Amino acid sequence: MLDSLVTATLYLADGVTLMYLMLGVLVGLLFGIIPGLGGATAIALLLPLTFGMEPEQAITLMGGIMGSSAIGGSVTAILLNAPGTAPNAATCFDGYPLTRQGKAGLAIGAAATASSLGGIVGVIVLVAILPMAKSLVLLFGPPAFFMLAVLGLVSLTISNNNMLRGLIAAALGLFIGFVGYDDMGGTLRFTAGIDYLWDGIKLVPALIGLFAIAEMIRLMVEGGAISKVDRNELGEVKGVGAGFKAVFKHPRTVLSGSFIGTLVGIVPGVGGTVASFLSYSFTVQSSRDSSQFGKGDIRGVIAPEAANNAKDGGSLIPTLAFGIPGSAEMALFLGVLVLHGMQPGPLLLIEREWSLLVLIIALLLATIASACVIAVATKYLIKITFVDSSILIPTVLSVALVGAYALEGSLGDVIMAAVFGVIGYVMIRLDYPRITLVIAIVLGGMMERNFIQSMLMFRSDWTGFFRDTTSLVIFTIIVMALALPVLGRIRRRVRNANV
Amino acid sequence: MKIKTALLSAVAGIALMSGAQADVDPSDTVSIVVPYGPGGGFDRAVRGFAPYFSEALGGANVITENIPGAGGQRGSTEVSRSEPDGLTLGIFNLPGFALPAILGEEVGYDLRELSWIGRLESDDYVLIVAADSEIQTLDDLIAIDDLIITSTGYGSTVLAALQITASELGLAENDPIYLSGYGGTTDAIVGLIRGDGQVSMAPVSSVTPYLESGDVRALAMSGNQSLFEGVPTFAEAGYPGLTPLNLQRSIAGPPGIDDATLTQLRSAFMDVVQNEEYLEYAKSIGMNMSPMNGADTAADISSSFEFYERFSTSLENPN
Amino acid sequence: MPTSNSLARPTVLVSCFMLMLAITLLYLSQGFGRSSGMFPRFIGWVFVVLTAADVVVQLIAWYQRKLPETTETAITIKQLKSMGWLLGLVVALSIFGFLITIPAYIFTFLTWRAGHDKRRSAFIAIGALVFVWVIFVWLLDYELYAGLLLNNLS
Repeated sequence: MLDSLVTATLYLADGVTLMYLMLGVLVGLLFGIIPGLGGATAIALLLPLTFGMEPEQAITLMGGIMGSSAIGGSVTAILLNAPGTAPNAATCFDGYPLTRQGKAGLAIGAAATASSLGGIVGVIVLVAILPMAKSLVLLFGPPAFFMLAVLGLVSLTISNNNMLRGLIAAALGLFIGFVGYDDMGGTLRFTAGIDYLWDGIKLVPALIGLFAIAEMIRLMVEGGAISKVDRNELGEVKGVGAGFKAVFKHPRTVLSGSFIGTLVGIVPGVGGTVASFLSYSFTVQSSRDSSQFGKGDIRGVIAPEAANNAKDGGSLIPTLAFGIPGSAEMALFLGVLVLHGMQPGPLLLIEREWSLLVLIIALLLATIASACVIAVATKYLIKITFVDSSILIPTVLSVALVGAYALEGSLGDVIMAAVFGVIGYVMIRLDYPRITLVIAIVLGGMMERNFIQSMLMFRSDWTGFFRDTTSLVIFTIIVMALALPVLGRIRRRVRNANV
Repeated sequence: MKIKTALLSAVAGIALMSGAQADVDPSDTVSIVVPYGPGGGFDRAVRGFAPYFSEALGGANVITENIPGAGGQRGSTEVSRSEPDGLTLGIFNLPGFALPAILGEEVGYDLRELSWIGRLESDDYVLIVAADSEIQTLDDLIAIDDLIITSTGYGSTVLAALQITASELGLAENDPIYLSGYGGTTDAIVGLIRGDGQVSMAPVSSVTPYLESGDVRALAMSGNQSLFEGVPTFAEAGYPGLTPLNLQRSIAGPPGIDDATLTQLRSAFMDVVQNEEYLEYAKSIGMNMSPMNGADTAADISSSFEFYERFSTSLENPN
Repeated sequence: MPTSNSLARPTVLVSCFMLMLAITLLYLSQGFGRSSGMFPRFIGWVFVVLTAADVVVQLIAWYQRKLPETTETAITIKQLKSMGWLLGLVVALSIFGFLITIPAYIFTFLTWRAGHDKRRSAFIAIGALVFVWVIFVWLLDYELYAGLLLNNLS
């Protein structure tokens, strides 16, 4: 292992390879920033171009993209309340309020730093548990996946102010997830004969609509600029440095966010959106003073950003253990590997150890490099928030819709994004939580599929959920997640009564 | 300069062959449609093939176009509805794209009417169990009462292959549970390893890494010759009816391509698949090359169709 | 998360609409088979119960005068206008495609609605077009949608 590490490091120290890394970083940042595009799209687009490269050059390029797209996405999440990629959605909650208070620099600095640290922790955990990778992956079967989906959905709804509206949004999100061809029952559901809906409602156009477009509609109604603070506030540029320091003032938040991100990343198919949200949710639940969350608590930026980079380390586990991609980017990454003659599967790690180490190191370098790029660019990026919204609105709308189209070259995606834009605006005005809707869309399929599979496995005996160890453990976590806030409130009431 | 086209023309600019007077000029662009997103098995098959095909066509620009959606049907329908001028081709999966028609659904194409250019790959199916399973032979498998089979969802080739095998082996009488709905073939295999079910099936190219790592064991495989030591073919094990079961990837154009163009395309195809360099490259990216010329491929499609149609009653959705 | 800015009657109306939606979805789910219908039916029932509860909550709040009385018509008009601008963009994209619509739309929006002077608007509009073109068409080699009009002319 050690000599592979040396080989990998020396390989990356080469000028040409570093150029590929920086190209990946810049592309990843750009794709991350534009709402709707993301790391996966970037990899998909550049995949054919890697054809003529050496395998490790292609790997470095991909590592550059993967490590930087979430950081790029945090910029728009913080400045425009429009997540650049789905995993940045949770960053909006506290990032955008900070921008409105004129503290965008602080938020971006914290996001970039937290992302880097998260990425580093993710890689460290990855390397540490890699020997156990296979057994870890085998721990999660249909019952565990079902419980995990329930956990994701539950943790969302309880951190809501308006729980009833949150539950309704969740139910609606689940139904949106039902649209399309169900390959368990073999029927088309809720498609009304429209071909476009055969594959269901895609997450990315819905996300662009619910966040980017809805925000622009809101700006159209409200008017003015995004930052409600006078332009002469000198806070911004120094803010980045303060953001950097802020992360180190909250070590528990960074670490918990990173660990949650890595662990969630291990579960294939769940992805960064759930990781960042679970991390945010956990931070809110476990903090003594949670009053400032949603109003600009810096921890609300640190936690999800650490998680959405740490997940890259985690998602390599199932990818390396069995060749099952842990995330959409990993699926495409495997495609890149195959194109260059590497067979994904349990033997990949043994046969091509140093190639994979190249990826891991590239990922690390990419997170740090992109954080630096963003930190430097912050001064200019922040200016956006002072720009008159009337200029922002048509430009963001146009670019967002191009992003929606660019996904698969389908006009249907553009229309879908616009439709969700309207839905998103209505949800904003009437206090239905959009993120719950998004997570329900993401988790709905996983929940249903694994429930039915589990029932098939148990021959309809649902006690099976409690006989599977991993499933039981997650169920316990769900119960605790539900009980703790209630217990906390009871304890506080008792304490107040005794005073 | 556009990066993509620069790369492609550089590759295509290698050694222009003197092409015969034919309907695809070196100045034309041929696009081969992959009905799935980038990065999958079909995608790499076409991307590897394209530059050599371009050379064989006298330097015509050959590009890969991804048109994903509807389980492969969107892309294939588009190909079969395009102009039969030889400039739009597609890669087709059998029995995958034959299944919808056999299962009685409405499809936008008929595989038997397409203009077949040639077959690239042919993958036999392997019946597998987890390495630590108690099942050692086919007879052990048949003896099990409460069998659980892991598989991908309805409409997938793996499920169809499993149902056909179950029918031939007489497993269907025991009413096995089909644990379908896994996201992909590898997920179903990992589900098997985990113990969610007791048996599964997958094409050779998907199974090989797991056989080599010792996580799964093979009971039998289809085809005329076993590729693995100690593993019988179905025919050798007494079930010759399963021999034709396989997964094929072939290239075709829409119905009605004129003879001259078809001949040109077919002969260019044969040039590629007889090129040592291409075959080596194909092997290096894990393709199971089993080339067949266009005319034979067309005939083979029809007989494959009949094979699957015979089993159509076994192919109902088990869930 | 943003604080709510509820409007009286629209809130109740939307709650009722959600209830209707839930009932419709539940009804449609009855038609699915065993596997396909199991989850939709279950969630459908939950959905109906939740939306019904929400209607009740809204009605109670309305009765108790806890909701603001007036629907500010000015805001409603603004909202409708904004939707109009969005719809216009989508329609224009469908007919004329991206490369024509983007500069035209931005220019129109800035001069007409926001009242910027023509030169500035043109500058920004062209800037956006250049950005989109450089990244999507030139660098990434996409074929951006050309619109029904141009597609049908060719």
